[in-house]
Amino acid sequence: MSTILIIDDDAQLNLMLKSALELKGYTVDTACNGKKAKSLYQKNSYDVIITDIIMPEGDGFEVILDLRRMGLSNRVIAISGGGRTSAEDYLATAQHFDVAAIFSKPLDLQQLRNKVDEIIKSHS
Amino acid sequence: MQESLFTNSPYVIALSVIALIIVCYFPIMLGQKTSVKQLPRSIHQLVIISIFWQASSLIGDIFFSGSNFELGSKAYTARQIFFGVAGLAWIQLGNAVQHTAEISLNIKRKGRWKLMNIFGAIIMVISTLIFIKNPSFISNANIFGYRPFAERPVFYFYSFIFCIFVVPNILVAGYHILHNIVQSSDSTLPRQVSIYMLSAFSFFSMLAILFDFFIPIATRFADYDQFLKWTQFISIFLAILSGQYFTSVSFKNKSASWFLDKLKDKMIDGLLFYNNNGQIKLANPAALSILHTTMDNIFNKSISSIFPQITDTTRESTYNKIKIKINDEDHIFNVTTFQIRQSLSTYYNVAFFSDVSKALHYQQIIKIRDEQFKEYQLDQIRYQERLNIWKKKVDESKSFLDTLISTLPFRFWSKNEQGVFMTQNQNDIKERGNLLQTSEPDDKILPQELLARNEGEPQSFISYERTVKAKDDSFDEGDTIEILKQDDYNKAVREGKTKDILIFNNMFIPIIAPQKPYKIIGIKIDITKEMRLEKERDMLQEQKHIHSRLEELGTICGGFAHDYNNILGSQIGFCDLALEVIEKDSQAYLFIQEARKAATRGKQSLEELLNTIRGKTSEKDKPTEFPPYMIIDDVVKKLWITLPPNVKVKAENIDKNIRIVGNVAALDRIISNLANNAVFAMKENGGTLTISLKREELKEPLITPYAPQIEAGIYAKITVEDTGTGMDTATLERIFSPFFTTKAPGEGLGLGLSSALRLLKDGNAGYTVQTTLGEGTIFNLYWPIRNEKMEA
Repeated sequence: MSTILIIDDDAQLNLMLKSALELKGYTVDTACNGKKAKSLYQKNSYDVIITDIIMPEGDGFEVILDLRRMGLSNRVIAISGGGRTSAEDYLATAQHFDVAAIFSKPLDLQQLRNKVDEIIKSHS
Repeated sequence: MQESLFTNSPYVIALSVIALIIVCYFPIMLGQKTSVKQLPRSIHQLVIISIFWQASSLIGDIFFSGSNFELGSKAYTARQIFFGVAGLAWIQLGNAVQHTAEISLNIKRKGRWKLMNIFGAIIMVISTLIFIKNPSFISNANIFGYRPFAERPVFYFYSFIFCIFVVPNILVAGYHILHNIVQSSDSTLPRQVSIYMLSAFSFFSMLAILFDFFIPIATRFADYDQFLKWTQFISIFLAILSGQYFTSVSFKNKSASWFLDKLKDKMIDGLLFYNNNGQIKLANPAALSILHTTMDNIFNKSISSIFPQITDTTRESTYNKIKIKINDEDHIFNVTTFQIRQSLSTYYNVAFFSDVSKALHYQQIIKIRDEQFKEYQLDQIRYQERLNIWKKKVDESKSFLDTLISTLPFRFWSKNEQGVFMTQNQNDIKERGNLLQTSEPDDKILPQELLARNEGEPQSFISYERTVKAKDDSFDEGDTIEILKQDDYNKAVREGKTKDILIFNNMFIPIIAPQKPYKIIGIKIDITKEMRLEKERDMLQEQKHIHSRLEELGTICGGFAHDYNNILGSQIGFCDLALEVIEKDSQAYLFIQEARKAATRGKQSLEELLNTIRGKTSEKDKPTEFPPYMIIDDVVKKLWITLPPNVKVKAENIDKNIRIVGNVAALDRIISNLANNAVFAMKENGGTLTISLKREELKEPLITPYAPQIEAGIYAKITVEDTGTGMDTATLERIFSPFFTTKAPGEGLGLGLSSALRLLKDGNAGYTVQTTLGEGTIFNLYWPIRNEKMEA
């Protein structure tokens, strides 16, 4: 059974993504910031990690770079709604750090689930 | 047998020859003393008498001596003629001697003596004729029965003639001299001479009479063979004596004696003559005047009553500065006493004195004046020196002023009280020509200038001038200057027509003096450039301000949009999930579809809002041309406010000529960010932040680690260098990530460098970064200079 970690400071978005992926039959964990996520992905092994970029404690870049050091950057999907600057900037930077995919908010659930499937298949 | 009239004695003949020589030499002898011409006629007469007498007598002695002469023979006649010639000479002797004495003693000659002389000569001629023709007429002459000439007719007859015509004259002359000696009060030289003269005169006369008359008669003419021989020789002495006497006595007015007498009378020093007893006998006028007395008062007074210091009246001595009281006045005298010996037995004592009190007084005054004069000369030299120093100083300061005025970078002139130009510097002359010593027409003079000149109020104002080109070149001198009002200028600024307008700062400064009106100094500074620059700076400031306000709004909206996007995203996501699980024909499915539509619409309107804000921002951010040094200045100023005390900031090597095209706010943000980071890096240990700006041309593309490639081209290179902690490789990799920060929570979000990166990209600018841990970091920004010409 594939496991997925979702990291976003918006609890509602976490719940929505978790529901959408659980509907597809994945096991989903959520974390509301990079710090909490770190304890999770160090403890458990995840097939896909979906992370927001702008977060209050331990931002998305930290997570991405951390996972890159762990050799897991190809399992990472970066999502961003943009903030003070446009979302594309952050996502472009994220892409620079070799993430598997980037999605800007609001998310297209269908495409996201397809990408998740794709990543899992590529690893199995 | 005749009487012998001439002797044949060789001694006498020899004596006669010598006498003749002496007589002939006599005029020369006299002439040596005084000119012959000055001698009176009587002296000449004496000489001629002597010459004739000696000559004829000598001829007689040689040719007609002895007694062997026949009466009527030629020899006899010749003998008588020569005797007569000699007689004509001696008959006049007395007259000449008397005449000389009278002239010498200034006695008026009486005519009867002359008559008598002529009468004597006639008698002599007649008697000679009688002796030649008929000698017996004389020898037989009977006077009252007595024949006086019978025995020796020649001797007695001529002796008789001699007594009648010569002796009286000589006696009278002797009387005159004696009278002169007795009568004269003048005890000086002439009297002495007269005494000598009379003695000699008497002696020689006696001698002649003794030998020529008394001895022959007494000896009864034993060996007597001559007549008047002694008188003949002595006449020479008489002539000499007469001449001497005349020159000594009657020439006294023109002689050394006369000169001394005059000197004595005219000299300003006193002379007192006194005898051995000290009795004053004579005083010169100066002595009387000095002593304030008269001759009568002083005569026979003792010399020591006047000069008590003189005790020994006969000693020669000198007394210096002796004090004498005369009429209660103190006088100081120098007195010298000495003796004048006039002859063996006579001498005078003389006191020669001068009143030196005045001389001393004058000497004192002269001494003082001399000192004063020297002091004055010294003063003059000192004054001249001071004058020279001052002149040098004045010259120096004048040339200093001249140089200063002529090199002033603005227009400078001065006018005197009447408004005439006195000074103009090069800038002013270049602008409106040489106007020195001229004045401007009244309508051209500004009211501010008049205020300064007449009231002494300094004036300073800004003027706007537009140069209007003359339409017709033949008209006037060309361009005219139109003075604009401030409103006109503002209008021109709005319309962008400021190119031909010059802005000046004008000053009229009065040089305050005790009286109005005043001289004034005029200064006109071209501040067009400064004003434009200021305006530019204001505009940049305004732009930055607007931008930052919009950015603030954008940031707020961005944050809001971020949150709202998430919210809407969740809503749409849940809607999608619901639609997946719900029956498609149920009514709820329709409702959820509507809810999703509404959320999508909200998302669209949110995007529109964001786009609007961003679009506006970017529109306002349109690139402008500006000099980057202004931004650097601003940043440095801003930093100063928040700078920790251990950090220093400096702007070095700032090239103010560089102008770039770009977004003012962006550059400000970038430099601010870099500078803030640099200051942060130095917070702990302190250090120096250096910002520099220079032009750099890259010949080939610049490739450095951690930064994109920079293309070849011309750039404004802005360097921000700190001496902070530096960065490690991991940090360096991520410095441009948003929210990447090494700052502690609360110190910063970490968005600075990442947004700076975007801004750099927008401006087509590149950067390089060099860092060493523990030493510091250098950021170089390369901002392209698009158009080289803009630099100017």
